Amino acid sequence: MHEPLDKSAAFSKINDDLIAPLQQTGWGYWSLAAGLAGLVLAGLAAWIYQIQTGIGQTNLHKSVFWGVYIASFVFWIGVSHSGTFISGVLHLTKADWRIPVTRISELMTVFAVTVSALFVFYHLGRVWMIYYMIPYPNQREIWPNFRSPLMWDATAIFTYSVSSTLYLYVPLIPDFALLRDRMQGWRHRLYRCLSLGWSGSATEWKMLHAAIRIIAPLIVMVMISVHSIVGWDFGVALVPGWHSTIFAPYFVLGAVHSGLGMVVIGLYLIRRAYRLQAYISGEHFDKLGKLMLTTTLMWGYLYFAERLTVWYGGVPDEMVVLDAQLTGVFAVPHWIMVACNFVVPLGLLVWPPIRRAPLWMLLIGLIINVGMYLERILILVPSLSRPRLPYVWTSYLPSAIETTILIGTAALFTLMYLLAIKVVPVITIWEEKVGRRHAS
Amino acid sequence: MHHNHPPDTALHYVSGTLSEEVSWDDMQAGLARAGISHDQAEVLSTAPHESSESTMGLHRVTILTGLVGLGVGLFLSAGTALLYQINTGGKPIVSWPVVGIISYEVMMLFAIVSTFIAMALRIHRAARRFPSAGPLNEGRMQLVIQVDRRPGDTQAVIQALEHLGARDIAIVSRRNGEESLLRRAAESAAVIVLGVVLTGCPQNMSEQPSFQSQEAPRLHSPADSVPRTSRAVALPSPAPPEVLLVEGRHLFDINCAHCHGQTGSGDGPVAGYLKELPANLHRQDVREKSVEALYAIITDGYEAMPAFRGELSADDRWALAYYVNHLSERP
Repeated sequence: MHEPLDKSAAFSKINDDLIAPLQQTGWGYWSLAAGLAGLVLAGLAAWIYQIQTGIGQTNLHKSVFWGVYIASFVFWIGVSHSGTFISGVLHLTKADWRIPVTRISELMTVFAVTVSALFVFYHLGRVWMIYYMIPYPNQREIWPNFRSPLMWDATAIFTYSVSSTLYLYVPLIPDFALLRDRMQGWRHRLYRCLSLGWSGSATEWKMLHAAIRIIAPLIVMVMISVHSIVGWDFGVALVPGWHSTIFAPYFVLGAVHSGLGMVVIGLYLIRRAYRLQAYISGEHFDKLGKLMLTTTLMWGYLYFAERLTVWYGGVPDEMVVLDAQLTGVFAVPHWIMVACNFVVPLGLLVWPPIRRAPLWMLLIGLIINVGMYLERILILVPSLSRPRLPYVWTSYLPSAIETTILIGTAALFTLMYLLAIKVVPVITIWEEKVGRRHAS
Repeated sequence: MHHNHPPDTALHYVSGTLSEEVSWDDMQAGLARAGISHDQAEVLSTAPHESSESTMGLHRVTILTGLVGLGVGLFLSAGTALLYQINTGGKPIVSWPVVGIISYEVMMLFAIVSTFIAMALRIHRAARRFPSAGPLNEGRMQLVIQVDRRPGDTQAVIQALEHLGARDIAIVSRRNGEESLLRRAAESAAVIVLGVVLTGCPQNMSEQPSFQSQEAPRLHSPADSVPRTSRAVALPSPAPPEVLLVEGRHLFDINCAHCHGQTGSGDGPVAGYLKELPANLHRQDVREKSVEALYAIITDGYEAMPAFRGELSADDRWALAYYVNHLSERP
């Protein structure tokens, strides 16, 4: 080993700072992981019980055929869009401030997509028949029915999960090579396998850049199509309140909105836990805050546009659903949702000092996610519980099994993220060095 | 300095580290003066120096595989629908929105995955071409130059590097034909896949009583088993044969004829829609079965035929078994 030059001290410090989270593990980490693992096991037990005894363990019943499972599925797919938006779109616009944020959001994308796929499985009564959805020539001589929006879902989400995993992996290769050179034992073998023999030559860097440059626009296009297709699950149906052409853009925009909130939450927690204040500053929160302000305004616009057309048209079937939300049984959650998604973020994010304050941004991120989850539920439950035949009107609240599974899955997302922090540097080390070089 | 004399089958490289302050042009000029061409030298660093706008030819892979994916998507959405036409209430069998959505997603999937694989293979190949002389230090670039075997060339390169102000000059040699991890992994994967495919799976597991998913285990003993308390076979007490035949005929028409046909020849109206055809009950192997065996098949099912235990009482099943057993005797 040779002593580095003075100018390289900065890069060595970057290495040390960003590899530290992988090596230093305190009791706080282990106790959090243990607690989350307990919740995950509880959720798993609830799911096993539900598989054994049937979908009747949920409170799904006639006319309310989609409940919190599907609401959560849509919510988590939405969260996953944050990563692609930040790393993909901001990469294309050459926004250098995204550098410390991309890895955190890409990890979020991959785990959120995984978790959302789980919700589809929970929702199936006969999970063991899932292989019917895989298009392969089979002895049954049947193919999946691609005319169903649910098959469009399956195709799109499969494409998106594979693509976002690859898009997470590509910029990780040089970082894995760095870790390979600095660690011993099983970790060295793991990173040697994962780094594909990377040696840092100029040709390899060009190849990496080329791949990122090609995949980034493709994955942004996939991202938009995925949540549009999830929106069309509802939009093509004739259920009152669902048959609206605005659902595709509304869902995509809502996804970016809630995703940004989740990224800010993750950013705050990681920055705080691993003392990365030198890498993630108020400036990053400020820029994310401006994006959130934009999505808040757009959300408000699309929400109003959707409600206006329904209200003005006055179709009785749809007015019932609308009135139930504005002044009826769903009024309280509905107005909380509007406050959380629009009023509060708008009121707070216009102030630059608030945007630059990480704690305020954490709060706003939490509020937005609460609001967006309520929004997903309010798309589902009012429309389904007020179908066209008043005789069948009903109500829906999740059962204990459903709630346990929800909490267990949220814990699984957090646990996967927690474990990933120990394997993957949370800030892209090589991009940070490039950014530092540009800045100096 | 270093005086290794590696064996002749090796590839030789000279490497040295330069400060990152050295400009790219100075480096190229220095190499050119020593007669080293572009493709003989490579720079290794912990972070990229230049951001080129080139796609390194990867876009060809993307476009080509995207078109393949488009074809696969067209097959899945339009082809399978045309091959196995299922009418669903007036909607067209093949429609452009469906074909568009599915083909788009599959095209993107193929394009992105193939671009990644192509990039990974090229990175792997590029990394093996110029091996690193050791872990890269921050703030310094490692220049690796391939030299021919003649000692004079090595000296010339070393001098050129010293001119440029390089430190830690070393000679690296690598045995040609080292098997890469990737190739070994591919070989083992191929062996495993081939093994699975060639050994295959036995097909006669389908010849068993019909069990549905998560069906509880059946607690009764087989039809021809002998109870512990006596030597007599415990079966429902048979009624007189004439009664059995009449009842059996009646029950057969209701429960069996839709698949096995009115005459039991396996030509029932439903049979045309089934992948595994109902048995022709006049076949030799069916005729040779005992009444008890037929009773067991009706009770437990056989291959694709479901179990009728829950549908019919034991007396009914016995009557049916008797009827089928005597089916071929009828004029």
